[in-house]
Amino acid sequence: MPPVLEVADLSIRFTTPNGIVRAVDNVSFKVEAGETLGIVGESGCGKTVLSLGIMKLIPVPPGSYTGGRILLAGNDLVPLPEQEMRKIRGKVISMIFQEPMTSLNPVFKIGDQVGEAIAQHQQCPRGEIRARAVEMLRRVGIPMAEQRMNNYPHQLSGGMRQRVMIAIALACRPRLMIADEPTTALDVTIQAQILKLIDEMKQELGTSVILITHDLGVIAANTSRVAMMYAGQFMEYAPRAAIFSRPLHPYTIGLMESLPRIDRPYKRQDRLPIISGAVPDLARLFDGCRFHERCREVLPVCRRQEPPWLERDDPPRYVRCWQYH
Amino acid sequence: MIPPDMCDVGNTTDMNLPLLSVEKVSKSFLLPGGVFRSDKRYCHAVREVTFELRPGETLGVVGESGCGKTTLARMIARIETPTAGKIRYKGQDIFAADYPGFKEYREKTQYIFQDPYASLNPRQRAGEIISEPFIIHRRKSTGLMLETERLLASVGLTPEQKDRFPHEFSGGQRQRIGIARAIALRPEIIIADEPVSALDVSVQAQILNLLKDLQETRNISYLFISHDMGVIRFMSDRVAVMYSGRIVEMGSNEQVFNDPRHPYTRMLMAAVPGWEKTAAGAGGEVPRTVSDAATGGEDKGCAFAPRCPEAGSDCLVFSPEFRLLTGDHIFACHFDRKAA
Repeated sequence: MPPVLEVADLSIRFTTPNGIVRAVDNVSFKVEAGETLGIVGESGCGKTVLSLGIMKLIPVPPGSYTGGRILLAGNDLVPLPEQEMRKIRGKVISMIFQEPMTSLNPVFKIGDQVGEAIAQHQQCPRGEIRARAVEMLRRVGIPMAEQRMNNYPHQLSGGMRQRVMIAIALACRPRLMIADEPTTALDVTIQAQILKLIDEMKQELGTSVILITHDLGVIAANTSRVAMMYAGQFMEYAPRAAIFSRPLHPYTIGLMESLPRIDRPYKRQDRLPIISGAVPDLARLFDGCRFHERCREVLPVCRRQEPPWLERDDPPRYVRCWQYH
Repeated sequence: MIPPDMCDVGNTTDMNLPLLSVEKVSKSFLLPGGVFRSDKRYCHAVREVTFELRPGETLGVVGESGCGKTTLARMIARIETPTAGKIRYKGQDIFAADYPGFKEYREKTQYIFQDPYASLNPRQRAGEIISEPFIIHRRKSTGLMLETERLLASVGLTPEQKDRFPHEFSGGQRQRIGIARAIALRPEIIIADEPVSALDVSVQAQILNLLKDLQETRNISYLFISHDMGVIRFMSDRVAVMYSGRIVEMGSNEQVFNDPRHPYTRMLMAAVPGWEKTAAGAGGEVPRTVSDAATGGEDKGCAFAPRCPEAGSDCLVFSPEFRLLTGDHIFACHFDRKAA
């Protein structure tokens, strides 16, 4: 079976007054049917541009697709006209965002908003649309779904709003759902509920998921493969178990070490291992590896030449680092 | 509690004397009512919170949004006035009308804010921001420049950066400026309200380490507020868990994390996603209860009961009292079930 989504050497640039920003640079990955791919990165690493890029939601100009392909079940989305994309968005690929309050329309009832997603892509009578919207809300765990249909977004809590977003995203049983920081605005206990819901819905509907987050913990519990993104590039891409038990890239290692953990006793004099410096400005031109200024393992070659995307075995995984050349 | 007349205001070296004591402090906000409403409705943001902060220690306050952590911090910073209860600094009530140490208290208690973008004046240069406390408190008419540069260096910035504006710094550097401003007057207490939650993961550790370094060299007490259990674990000597305006469990770091007694504390820990748990094969129970944690409403029963997986019939009727375990580990629950 071909992968649901295959992204090959995708590059997206923006022309800005400060120069050209290479927000996504030579990114390649696959999403198989029914799997969850986690993409981890800090703010400004290009993970949101990547997800909007897959949806073809990047405004052109200032943005431009400078290379690569986005293959959805074998068909390239990059040259596809907007009209064709509209048939794909919401039906084949859907998306949920970080802040459910700003992505729901405040002046429409939630039932109508779920119904709209169904009506957009399927011809069916109004009564049936309503029935299916209620069914969808019930499935995402909204109690008294029938009554809740008539609520406006402000009448719901943050967790409930995110459930509504998931109902909208999954209303047409898409092949792929992109969740961009779906739980960042939520409390930890609610976050756990929403992550569990995404996982249950994935099992139930067979939807593949791309889960984008800055939180390694979220990735650890909910994905089958993980990509580490830094300054517009994938630095490492591996099965989940491999990335957590044997991380290869110094960025991955540094990030994992720098997180305080609840299962570890700390003394007053203990300090966390840190990655020095800050995330670079993407408008800058890079010589060599994009991580070399912050890297503990830096080699002379790292400053001169960009490391290639290296394939490693056992299990099959990729890393962008000269150490493994 | 030590009566206020018995303690010497100048004595800070005694570790047993609390620097700050918060006694049954409550804060209610009057909710806006309609023109035709005769009854008044209140939001009880903080309810009967009691704790002490000792010299040089870090008290971590953890809880979800809306649990009253920030209102509590704002009362200690004297930005809000409590509706009931007292806050004493070195034994003296800071809200007393005749409190003589008001200026000293403002000097010795500083605040680090969550959002490093919103809490710095965009029109002031870094150097001006950091030196402003000296001007307000009429200190250091000479050597101000040198002191500012020294402060910049102590938070990991370079002296040349004093002429830059906030927008020229990254998020982590901005938080460093906020920290330099907070330590300028050599405070005894720093209230840090979610100081790292707006920062990138790789920068978060740098700031946490800096806060610990400063505590070591300057003997600062932190009231450290966070929703992140990992950060609380790393930073705190003692931990207070808040829910719906109340402290539901408090104790030393080891007591609370190794032997959590309140069901809410356990729920918070189980909800933290982490690879260590996945690797071990255990996921932790995920609560499926409705999430509306309203801080208002009537004052009957345990506030956590509607979400509590272990709630009994008593929990809906009677408010739980604190139970004391070994040391000063306390928790408020009708039941004492150890973690399974």
